[in-house]
This record gives sequence, structure tokens and C-alpha cells, in this order.
Amino acid sequence: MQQTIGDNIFLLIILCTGGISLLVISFVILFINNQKRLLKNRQQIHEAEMSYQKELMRVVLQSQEEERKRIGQDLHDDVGSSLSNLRMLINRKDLAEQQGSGAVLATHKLLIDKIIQDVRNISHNLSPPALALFGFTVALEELIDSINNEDGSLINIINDVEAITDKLPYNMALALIRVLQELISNTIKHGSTKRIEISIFNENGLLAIQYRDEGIGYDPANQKNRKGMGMQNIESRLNMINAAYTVKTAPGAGFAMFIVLNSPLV
Amino acid sequence: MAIPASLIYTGIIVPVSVLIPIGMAASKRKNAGRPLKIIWYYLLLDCVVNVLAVVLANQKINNLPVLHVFTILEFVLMSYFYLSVLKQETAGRMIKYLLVIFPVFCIVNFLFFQSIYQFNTYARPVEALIIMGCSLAYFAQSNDAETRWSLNPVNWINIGILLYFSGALFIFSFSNLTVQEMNEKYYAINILMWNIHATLLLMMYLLIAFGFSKCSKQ
Repeated sequence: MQQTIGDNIFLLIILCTGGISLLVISFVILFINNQKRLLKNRQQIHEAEMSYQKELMRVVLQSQEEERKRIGQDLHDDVGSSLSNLRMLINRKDLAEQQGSGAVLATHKLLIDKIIQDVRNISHNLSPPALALFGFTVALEELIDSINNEDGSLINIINDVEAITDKLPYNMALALIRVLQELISNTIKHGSTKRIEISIFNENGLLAIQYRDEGIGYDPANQKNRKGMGMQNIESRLNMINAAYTVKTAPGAGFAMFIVLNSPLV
Repeated sequence: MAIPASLIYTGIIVPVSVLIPIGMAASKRKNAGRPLKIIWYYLLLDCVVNVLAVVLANQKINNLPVLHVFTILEFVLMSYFYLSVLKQETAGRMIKYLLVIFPVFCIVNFLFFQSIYQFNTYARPVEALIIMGCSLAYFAQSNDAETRWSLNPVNWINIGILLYFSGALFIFSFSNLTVQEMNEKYYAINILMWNIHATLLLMMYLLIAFGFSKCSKQ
């Protein structure tokens, strides 16, 4: 009996110390692996953030370039060509003879009026003066009026919180106007719709904007419909003013965007 | 005086191997922070105790009283080490209490319960359990990767400490039982146990040395 117990003790000692050591070693290996995974995940997240920031930066620069191109084109095509026309008219050989004629003067005046209007349009596009002078509501109405059909049926706005939107800080109001402008231009470009609805209201103490069109919509899962520059512009502007947004769209079901400003209403 | 072949590993090779981490630590001591300095003192203590134990054993003098004192000193140094690496306030407070309670427990133990000429089989496993707890607390603390885990010397030293104290827990507990009966079989069991202990100790020394080798100017 004693002999059997003695034989077992060797085995037991090896089993006990070996078992515990094995436990510790496996624990350490698992721990190190877990740690490596954590580090890798962290790096991946960091890299993803960096590339997102880079992408945003690229979009900002690209849209700046596009904007410059557009202004250049507007100046060249509208103001430039009208001024050239005017010069040519004034330069004509028979000008002296016709100088006194009322028809020529009227043409000149028309051209000058057109140039004035073009310059106004360009500068309004660059920075809507109504926003600084009269606030968000008027600026939005001015924007809508410049786009709406003659009968005013394309865009319909419901603003329940005018008093609040007019008190928005300039940068926030400007960002929202730009976002709505971009959304409307997207809808007109791709959506082929006859109706756009914009509602601005108070959602649990936060300013919310619901944008909806009845256009053709698109499949958000489709790679072809990945965020274009317009959408990225919208995203970076909303990020800048700390606003959250959700998009709801499907082929044939129109497009809707819900924006919530994350700063509480005054 | 000739040492039996069965004792060369436990009596010479492993005690001398403490010079590996000591050498490594000496070369990196300039870059070492407070925790590593404490480990350096621990290694020096180990070295002194090893020499003392071997000398006493050679003189046929019971060296177990050294173990009783060593247990207290080892605990104090390990506690200071974990006190300097654990950031959690609760852990720090508990270690400070234990720094007073444990030495008192050891003294009470060798005054009233276990002779200083026997193994302190109550104090040593308790010490091992407390140090294992500290080691696991450090693992829990370092569970959020800030930098590459393997570059931190303390992590390697912590693994060594956990491996040694958990593996040797049974050996600490049963060391009196196996020397009680001095027949051939128990002698063999004893040799096996202390060989395993020596191997664990060697692994700790190597891991500490590896940890010190990761120590660089920060």
C-alpha cells in the first residue's frame, strides 16, 4: 500500500506543478495574443480614421477647385462675354452715326443690366447676403425662390421654428443652407422629381431638418452609388457643425435625409 | 567538499544562474526605472541568500532559518515592486496593509507555529498567493494596449514571477511532508520536487534577464 502511494506521489507532483505551469503559460500566451489583437485593431481604426480625414481633406480641396472653376466659368461665359459684346457694339464703325439712336442705347442698357445681374448672381452664390442681413429663414427662402418653378410648386418648406433658426450662429446657418442647396441640386440633377419637401422642427429639444423628394431614389448598397463629391461635401459640412444625419432611399422610393443638430436649442 | 551529482543542478547550476539576470541588469541599470531597480535589489538578495544557503549546507548547518528571513524580505521587495507598477489605488492600499500584516504573520508563524528549523509551509504559500494576486492585477491593468506589449520589461518580469510562484506553490506547501520520512523513496521525491523548483526559478531568472534586455532609453 505504502509503495503504491509513494509511486503516485511522483506523478502527482509532476501533474500538479506541471499542470499549474501549463495553466500559467497558456494564460500568458492567450493574454499576449489578445494584446496583439487589441493593438492591431487599434492600429486599423487609427489608419481608417487617418484615411477618412485624408479623404475629407481631398474633397474639401477638390470642391474648392470646382468652385473656383465654376466662378471662373461664370465670369468668363456671362460677364466676360457680355462685356465683349458691349465693347464690340461700341467699337462698331457706324457707331458715331447711330450714337444718337434710342435703339442702340437701349441695347447697351440691356447688356449692362445683364452684366449687373450676372455679377449679382455670382456674388450671391459665393456668399448669400441675405443670411448675414436677414437670417436663415430669408436666406433659405431666397435660395428656394431662385430654384422654384414659376408656380412655386417644386420646393415646399415648413419651418416650425423660425425664431430659433434665425438665431443660429452664422457658420451653422451657412452650413445648413449649403447642405440644403447641395441636396436640392442633387435631386434636380439625378432625382427627376416634381416635388421636394423641407421641414424644420424641434425634435426633443434639438433642431431637426427633414429633407424629402419623390424622385427615383437609388440603391445605397450599390457600389456605383457610393458617396459622390456632393454627398461627401454634405457629410463634411455636417461634421463641422456637429450634426448627425441619416439617409433613407431606395430605387423608385425617393430620397430622404434626416439631420439633427447636436447642440440644444436656445 | 564534494556535492552529490543529484544536487549539482539545484545546488550549483541554478543558484549560479542568478548571475545571468544580475549581469543583464547591471548592464542596463542606467536606463532602469524604479520598478526595475527593486527587481535588481531582489536579484542581489537572491544571490546573497543562495550563497549563504550553500555555505551553511556545506557546513552541515541547517539553513532553513535563512528561508524564514528571506521570505519576509522577498515579500517586502515584491510588494514594493508591485506598488510601483500597479496604478489602481485599491491595489496600492491593499499592498500597503499586507506589507505590515504579512511580516507580522511570518514572525508569529515561526515564533508559535512552525520552528525556524523547518520549512515555513504556511508563510511561503500565502506569500506566493499574494504575489500571484498582484501579478494577475498587473495583467489586468496592462490589458489595454498602448504600446507594443513585448517592449515593456515589466511584462516579462511579471510573467516570470507568476510562473515561478504559481508553479512552486505546491512545492512550498508540501516541503515539510517530504522531508519528514528520511527513507530512500521520500528522498527521491524530495529531489524531484526541488529539481522542479529549481527549473521554475531558472525560468524566472531567464525571463527577468530577458525583461532587462528590453530595457532601453525612453
